[in-house]
Amino acid sequence: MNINTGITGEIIIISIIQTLFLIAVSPLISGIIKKVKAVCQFRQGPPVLQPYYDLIKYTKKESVVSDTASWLFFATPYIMLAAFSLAAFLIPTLSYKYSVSPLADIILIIYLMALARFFLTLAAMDTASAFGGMASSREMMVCSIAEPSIILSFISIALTQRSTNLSTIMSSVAGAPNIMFTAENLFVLFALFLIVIAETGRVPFDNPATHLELTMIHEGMILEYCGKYLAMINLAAYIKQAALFTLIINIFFPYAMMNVLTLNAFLISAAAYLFKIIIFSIIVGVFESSISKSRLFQLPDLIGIAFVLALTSIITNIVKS
Amino acid sequence: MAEKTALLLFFISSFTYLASFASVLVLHKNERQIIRTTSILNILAGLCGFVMAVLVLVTGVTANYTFSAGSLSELIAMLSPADDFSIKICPYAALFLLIIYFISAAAALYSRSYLNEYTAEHVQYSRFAKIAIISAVYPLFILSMAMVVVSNHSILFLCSWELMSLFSYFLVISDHENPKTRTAGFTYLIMTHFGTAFLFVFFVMLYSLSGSFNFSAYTNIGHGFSNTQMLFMFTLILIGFGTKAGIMPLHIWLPLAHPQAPSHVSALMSGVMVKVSLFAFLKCLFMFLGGANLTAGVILLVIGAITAILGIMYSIVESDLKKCLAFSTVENIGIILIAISCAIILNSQHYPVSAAFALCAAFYHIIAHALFKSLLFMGAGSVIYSSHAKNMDDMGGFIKQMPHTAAYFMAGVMSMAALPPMAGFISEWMIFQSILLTLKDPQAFIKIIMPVCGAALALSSALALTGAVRMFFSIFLAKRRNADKYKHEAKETPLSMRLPMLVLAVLCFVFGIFSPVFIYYLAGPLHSLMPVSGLNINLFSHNALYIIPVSSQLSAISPQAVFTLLILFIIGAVVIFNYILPRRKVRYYETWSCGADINSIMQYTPESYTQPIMIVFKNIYMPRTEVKTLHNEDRLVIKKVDYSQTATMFFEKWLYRPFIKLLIKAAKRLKKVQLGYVHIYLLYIFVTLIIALLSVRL
Repeated sequence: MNINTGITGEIIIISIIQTLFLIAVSPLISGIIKKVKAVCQFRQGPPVLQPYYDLIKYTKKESVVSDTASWLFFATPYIMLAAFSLAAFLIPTLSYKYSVSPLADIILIIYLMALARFFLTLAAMDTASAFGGMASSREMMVCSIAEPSIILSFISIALTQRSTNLSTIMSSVAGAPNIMFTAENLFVLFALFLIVIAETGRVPFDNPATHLELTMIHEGMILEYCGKYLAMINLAAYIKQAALFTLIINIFFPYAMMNVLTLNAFLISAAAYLFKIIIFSIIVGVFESSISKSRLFQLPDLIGIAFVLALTSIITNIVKS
Repeated sequence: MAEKTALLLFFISSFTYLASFASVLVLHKNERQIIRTTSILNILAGLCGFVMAVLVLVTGVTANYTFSAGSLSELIAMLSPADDFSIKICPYAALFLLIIYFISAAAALYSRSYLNEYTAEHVQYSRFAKIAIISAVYPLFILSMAMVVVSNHSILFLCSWELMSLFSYFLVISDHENPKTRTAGFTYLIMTHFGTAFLFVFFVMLYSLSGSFNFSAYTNIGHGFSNTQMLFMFTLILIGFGTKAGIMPLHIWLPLAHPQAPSHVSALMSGVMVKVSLFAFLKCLFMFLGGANLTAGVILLVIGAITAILGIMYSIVESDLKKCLAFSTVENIGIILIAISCAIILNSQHYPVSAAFALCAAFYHIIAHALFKSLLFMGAGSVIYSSHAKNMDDMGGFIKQMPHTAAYFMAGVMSMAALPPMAGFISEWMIFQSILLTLKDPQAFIKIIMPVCGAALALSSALALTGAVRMFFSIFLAKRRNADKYKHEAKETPLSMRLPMLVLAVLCFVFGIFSPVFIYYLAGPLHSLMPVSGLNINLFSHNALYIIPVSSQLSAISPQAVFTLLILFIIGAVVIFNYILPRRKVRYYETWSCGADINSIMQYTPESYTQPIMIVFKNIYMPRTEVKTLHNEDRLVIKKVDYSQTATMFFEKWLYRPFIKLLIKAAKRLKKVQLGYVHIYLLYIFVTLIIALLSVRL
């Protein structure tokens, strides 16, 4: 398939709908994971819709901002929200056919996330707080060692699919149903799963539920944010998580996605997407409950596993061809 | 017509540089006048050359000029009658001339205020001498770089090359009272001559093969070479030009010498001079040797990957600001080498169009790096200029006092970290795509080594992001550390220093956002370096909207669209959270620090920021930890604990130290022969004579 460089009105409208849908669903994913964890621990847990209530609550509060902070501290939430929303805009959620396909390059999406990380890690340093520094430095360590595994995983996918364009990958996977369940692609699936867990700051890499200074990464960086700005950063983090989950499920299971422009097809694809993402969230919740947070300096070993898996996948690929 | 205009402009620019040099001799009394006159002349000469380079790039002409008269060329004529000194300005040379002239004009403007402050601490006499020397050598340095690029004759080339090394050496040691500077200068001098020795061998061999000094005679001379011959010649240029470019393990002079020069010269050395050696390397590799040897490509790939990773790893644990930038230059050279090696590998496997794309990626990274590295060195110069601190440990919080410099510096570090939509991102994306292009080759060996190399590139770019954040926060954010050590408060620099930085910062954006347009103009340089039949550059930059690596099936990006969308999303976020949702009060209060008073010691320092990375990669860093405990007189109370952790430089420790030790040992052995008595030396001469006579008889 050649990239159709003409982007029509329908494509833009459907892309915007897809993005809004993903943004609307994203806090739900967090709610579901929390609920699954609570059930695993025989607790009742907060309601599934709690993340929505929290976001609304934060926007109603006043903001207290550190007096050492500069304009960067205020700009960061907007840039993060924009970068992650743009990543979500580029990732085909409901339809790979009606998406902004010429732009949906995976390397671009990875680097857009790096753009948001650049600003967040700087904003964490902006308040002169030691917690921000600690978290920012750890975030950089984890992302530095995760990056090679991400690229290696997508090179492995590019070896079989001959593209780094998400629409192309998804359409060719959807066209040949069992292509993703070969050994090499399963290796990549596991590698990507580990990386997504690391990137979204979940156990065993980071604990999103804790506020203990010595263990936190993401929470430490946003410690000085409150009110409206906290709402924006939390929403951005939810969108990032949803976008990364979508990346996995739509690359490996691009089924029942919208191929024709009818309301029926749209509803079916939306229902299918919700089903897939809820199943994935439950898996993540169960995975998190069955494992404990690792020490910081054991993380390279875990990411090393992802690296080796991706490399194994490439070697399997070569041996087979 | 265009050829004549280009030549005319080139000579005008060259003579203006010479005039700038001469003006220092004429105005040998007044330092203010020296600074003003030379900077104006240098800017004019740079702009003139810039117009020339743009003219050649846009029209695609090639201008030749031969110096036919003169006693020097008669001397050359004794060696080989047919070759006069000649220069040639082809589009490929014009691309590099563009970089040289533009950056040097910006640096000349920057130097106007900077030079005053740079020499402020010195006493009157040495201050004047310094300004005079820097101002006199600077135009000659630029001229010699331009001559390296345009010369079409191997002797002229080698002369210009040596002059370039010498002039930059003079600029490096301009602060010669400092023993560190002298060591750096000495290391630079040794290493650069070590490299040039290989170049001499290379050009002598080319002469003996073709019987000519003229570069035109060397075109595709490598076609008849066997594999061993080709690798031998490749090694000569790799070591020869690689020493100047700073590839590992020949890089040791670069992080020493670049930071010692005044900042506007560091900007030129890091942003431009290393590019000139890459220019020559590419020229020899592709024009003369054909650039299609798989083994050579793989060797270059491995060296490039090692250079990229180790370069950035040393950069992110360094706390001297300019040294940190110099190591980052080493990293970027590694990245460019990865792109070049992709081109060689693709060319050797007969994918010329894909090879052209990889070369495009290399060109683009050369441009991007020239822009952001000179910007960052100027930014570093401004920060040092206004804060008087050289170490990032003693900086912090300057975003309040120097908001303009901070904004420009941020554009530079974002480009360095390859963030969209900056120029650095575009080139890095193209290099990733070049790596993916090599995967269509069926050879298993390539399919294994290229993904690993892609992972290495990813690691180096993630570490570059770390380095970018570390550099920016430790200079500009939070509170200043060790403020009591310095008398001066930082303040914003004068306009003449900010203006060139503003232009470079804007260009970092422009070359990112409108990259398809600029890639279109890379066709000329590409064709004159590596003629590919049937190559249409429209293939790479579709409609000036998309960058497409050869076939759009692989992938494509549209930087304009990405940038526009990003801006739209930011506007959307601002509108929703500031206008649609009700506004709430914002209150300022001090940062929470568990109830204690917040002070600058609590902050993370540049060292502590990357300490986790140092622990993770401890096998590479081999950190040495030193803990010094200072007790009270009664030895019961601990007064102070000093903790420091430094990385071991691998090549310095395991390659250069043993070599130097060996050298000194051998010299000590040889010393026994030197007794210092005249009659012993007469005996030596006599013995030598007898041996010589005997060997003649035999």
